[in-house]
Amino acid sequence: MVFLYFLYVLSAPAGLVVNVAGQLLICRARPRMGLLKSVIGGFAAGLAATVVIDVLILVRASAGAAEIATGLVLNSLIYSSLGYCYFHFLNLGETARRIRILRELLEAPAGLTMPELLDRYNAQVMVKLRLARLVDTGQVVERDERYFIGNPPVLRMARAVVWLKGIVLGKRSEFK
Amino acid sequence: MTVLLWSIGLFAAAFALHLIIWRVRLPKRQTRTLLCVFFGTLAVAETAFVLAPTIWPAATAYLPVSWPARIHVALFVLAVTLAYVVTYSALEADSPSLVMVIAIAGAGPDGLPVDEFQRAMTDDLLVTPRVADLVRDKLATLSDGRYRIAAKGRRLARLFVFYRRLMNAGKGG
Repeated sequence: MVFLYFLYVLSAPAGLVVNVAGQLLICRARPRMGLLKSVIGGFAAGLAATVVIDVLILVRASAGAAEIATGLVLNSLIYSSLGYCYFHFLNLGETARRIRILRELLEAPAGLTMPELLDRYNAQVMVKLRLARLVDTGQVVERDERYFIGNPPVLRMARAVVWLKGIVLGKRSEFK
Repeated sequence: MTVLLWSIGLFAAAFALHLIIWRVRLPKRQTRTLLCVFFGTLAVAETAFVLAPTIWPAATAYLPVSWPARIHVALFVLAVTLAYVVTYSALEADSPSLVMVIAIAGAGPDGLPVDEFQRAMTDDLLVTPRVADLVRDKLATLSDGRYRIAAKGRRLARLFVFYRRLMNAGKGG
């Protein structure tokens, strides 16, 4: 029984392993799908694995409906948090300025002055990369040399982040 | 149910403590302090769960005292804490993508002219502060006017180089 409970405790980490494997497989097998779709696919596979493991174990342990429901909620929350952390890890590699700057420094053993660093990676490069991502996903639309908001999810996320900054940090921007 | 309630309760208690500390004084090393607050709260609770059966046997009906249950609570707090810490890093520094989207939305139905947008996005706003962060966090060093990667930064950069290669992806940024 303790062994079963231990397996049940580990179902969310097991789901994370499935998530990572699934996301990498999708990324390599279907590169045109893009990073976001591979993340969603991996996450869904991991969640399914977590739920299946939990249901199998809890049913085998003769758990009641309420226990099964509670167990699924608990492990789904753990799995979702782990999956979210994995998404952030991938996002860091894709978009983080600090990681990109570190990679430039890694390629320059003698070091770089600020002008040399900015020559390799600067605001223009960064904006171009990000705008391309936003336009590709339809979040931003360019028309007649002007930018407009397209699909709203990123804008909603941006507003939620500003709101959360106000609550946690007491300011809406790092420059205020 | 006991495990679920204690897991959520512990995280909520640690979060409240974090908000109180942040209101008194914003720590210099925010991420490190966050981890100390959340994992410190978990450590205190886990110690209480271990000692409870000997000190107050009647309380064990309401506590996750078996070791798998204690591990489960710890796993929940660890996972949700890490999720919050990675979200927090998005709060510390303004994300250029989110700043861009808010600026475009702020321009209203007439849209934001491309050249005006490009002029607002400068190196002093977007790049220089992040280089300073790397030096502050000891991921890079600055000497004789040159930035060099530090050992900690090298390990981190190599992890991302390896993972991006696994995904057949480019440098990003």
